[in-house]
Amino acid sequence: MYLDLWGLVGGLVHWLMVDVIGTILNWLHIYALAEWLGSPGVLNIVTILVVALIILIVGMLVSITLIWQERKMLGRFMDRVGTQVGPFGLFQNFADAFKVLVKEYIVPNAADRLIYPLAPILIIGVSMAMFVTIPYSQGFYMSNSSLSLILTLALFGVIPFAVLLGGWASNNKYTLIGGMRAAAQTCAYEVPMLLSVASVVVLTGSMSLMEIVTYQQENLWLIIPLIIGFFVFLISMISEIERVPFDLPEAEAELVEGWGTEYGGMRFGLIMMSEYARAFVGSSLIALLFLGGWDGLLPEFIPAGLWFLLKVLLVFTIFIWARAALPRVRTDQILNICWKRLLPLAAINLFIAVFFKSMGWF
Amino acid sequence: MAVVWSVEWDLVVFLLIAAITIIAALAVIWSKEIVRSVMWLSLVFVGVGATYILLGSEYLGIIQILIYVGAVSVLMLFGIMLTKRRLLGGDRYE
Amino acid sequence: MADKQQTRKEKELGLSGFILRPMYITMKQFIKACVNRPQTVLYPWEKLVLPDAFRGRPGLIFDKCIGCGICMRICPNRCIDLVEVDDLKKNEGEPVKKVKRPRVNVGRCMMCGYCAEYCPTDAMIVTPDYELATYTREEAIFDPYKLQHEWKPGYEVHIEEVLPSEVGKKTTPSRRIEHKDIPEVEDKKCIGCSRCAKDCPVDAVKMVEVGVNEKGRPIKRPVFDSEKCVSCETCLEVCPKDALIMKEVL
Repeated sequence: MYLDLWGLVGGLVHWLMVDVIGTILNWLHIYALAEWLGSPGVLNIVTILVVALIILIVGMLVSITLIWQERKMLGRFMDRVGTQVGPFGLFQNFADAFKVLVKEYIVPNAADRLIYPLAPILIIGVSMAMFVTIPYSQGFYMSNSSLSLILTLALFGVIPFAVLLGGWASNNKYTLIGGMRAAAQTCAYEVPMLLSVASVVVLTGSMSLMEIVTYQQENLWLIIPLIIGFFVFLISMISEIERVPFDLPEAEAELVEGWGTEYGGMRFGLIMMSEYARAFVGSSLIALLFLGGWDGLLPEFIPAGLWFLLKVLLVFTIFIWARAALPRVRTDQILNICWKRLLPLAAINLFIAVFFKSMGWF
Repeated sequence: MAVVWSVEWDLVVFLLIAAITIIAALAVIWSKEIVRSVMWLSLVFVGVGATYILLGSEYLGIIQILIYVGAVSVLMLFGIMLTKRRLLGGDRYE
Repeated sequence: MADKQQTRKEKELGLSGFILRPMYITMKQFIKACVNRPQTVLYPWEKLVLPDAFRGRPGLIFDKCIGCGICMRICPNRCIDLVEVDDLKKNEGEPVKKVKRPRVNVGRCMMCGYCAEYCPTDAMIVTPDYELATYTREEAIFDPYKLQHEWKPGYEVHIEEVLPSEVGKKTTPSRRIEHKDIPEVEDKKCIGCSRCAKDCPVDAVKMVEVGVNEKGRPIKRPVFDSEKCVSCETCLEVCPKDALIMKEVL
């Protein structure tokens, strides 16, 4: 059971453009405009725009839900209640967004006039662009490209560049140190992450997230043969989205707010939003690659998209749990963990995947 | 009398991307601040990647973005920031 | 011994010590907080149960107060002063009496309760009232009428003491009023003006004629009634010639 997004939106747009607006225009004797509006190219473009809008809104809503979940669960981890605004604290994020929206936009005196406003735009744009590749179910997706996995990881790779630029443009030592740390860390942790993804690609023989999930539905969830790769990917993803215990770029005790220190108002809000958008993309990648995506029990009764979102929330729960439990990794240890621990593990995992594939077991 | 417009959209998009890439490449040379040069250079890389995608090799385009924007630009930025500014003709103590 | 310590350290610092144990402990805490209530109290709607010995702002029982000013003198923060107000007790046909009563600046009060401890008539009490935020500083100054609070058994606090000589014996700590400081008059300085007798809040001072001076007028000297006296030192303050000192009971 799943929602066919493209079919639904396409039918709706066709009904609206041809049957409603076209009829009215014909009645008004504006035949050329009616014909233009009813042509397949225009219908196609409008459908794509509407689907993109829906995907963006759904992605933002899930990211906001993740923020809410983190606040509530972190509260329970610390024996607190969590946010209290609105029913179950659901309106806290909207209150925060309103608060940062009405704030003044300040550019530091010594900041770079060109790059300083550009860096948050780059970051939020890239983070939102990652929503494109994430399929929620068989029918609820934006793009079914054959390279969606590698495109997501490529977009992850652009983040450290934007972070480093933003940290440099603020012209503040905290932001610069935070940006350098963020860039070094995220660049380094991409290597084990890509290696563990390579094992998944070796086993499934595809770079399309849809096909990877289809493979898992037909065979078995990839967490079972690739348990090492799952953990490597999980840890690298925590580091990639700069969360505790790898939150060195914004270590509050050392660097005020990391590379986002000088950003205020809605720019700060966008940076925070992009972090949780990336957290959503990261946890959904883990769910898609290793936990079987929308594969679940009772597929006739429970929608596939719901299974997917449940798995995303479950993975994010692990992130929150790690944040509640673990201390921050020291600066000199963080690259040791990456190069000395995770990289060999990822290589071993790749060998295991190649072994399984060559034996023809999967 | 209807004028039939036959626009080759591929050509239009290619010209647009090529113009952005060339302007960014010129900006790499002309900008005084070297970090801005790197920023324009990354835009050149993105434009080249977009050209690859337009020519039908999506994989190469995505890898172009992954390697060049994600790694090479960051490497350049690191190189710039770890170099003494004095060597670039800037202020000694900066 | 050294070996034991080292093994324990190694055990604690491994993978299990840094990652698995904290995660286990936090998950236990999480489940506990999900099953039970969290520790947090949603303050304006629900409040903590106050302990019996909680000391909030001082309260005043207007009719018990004699206006002696011990609370004013004992206050560590100097947030109490005496003001003259209309008495609450009104007798028919008489003009309303002016009496001295303490006024407390609770914005500066640190809720130590000394005023209640030292009050000779237990007119000052310690109330469990702690929500004292006001919009202006003037509102935080509680005049004697506002300072009144209803009396409940636990609100009185006393200094209960045991003498060193009674430590071994079975004596309950009690308030010892029989050993108290009493003012003493220096005969040379006293001019017999009888202001101490006028201002004494408990009428413990009587002026007694001790003789006649050269002009034939009576020489008056104060005599202190040790039972009535509450050691408030009002007489010391009003004495124009500083002829009174407190004789300390050692």
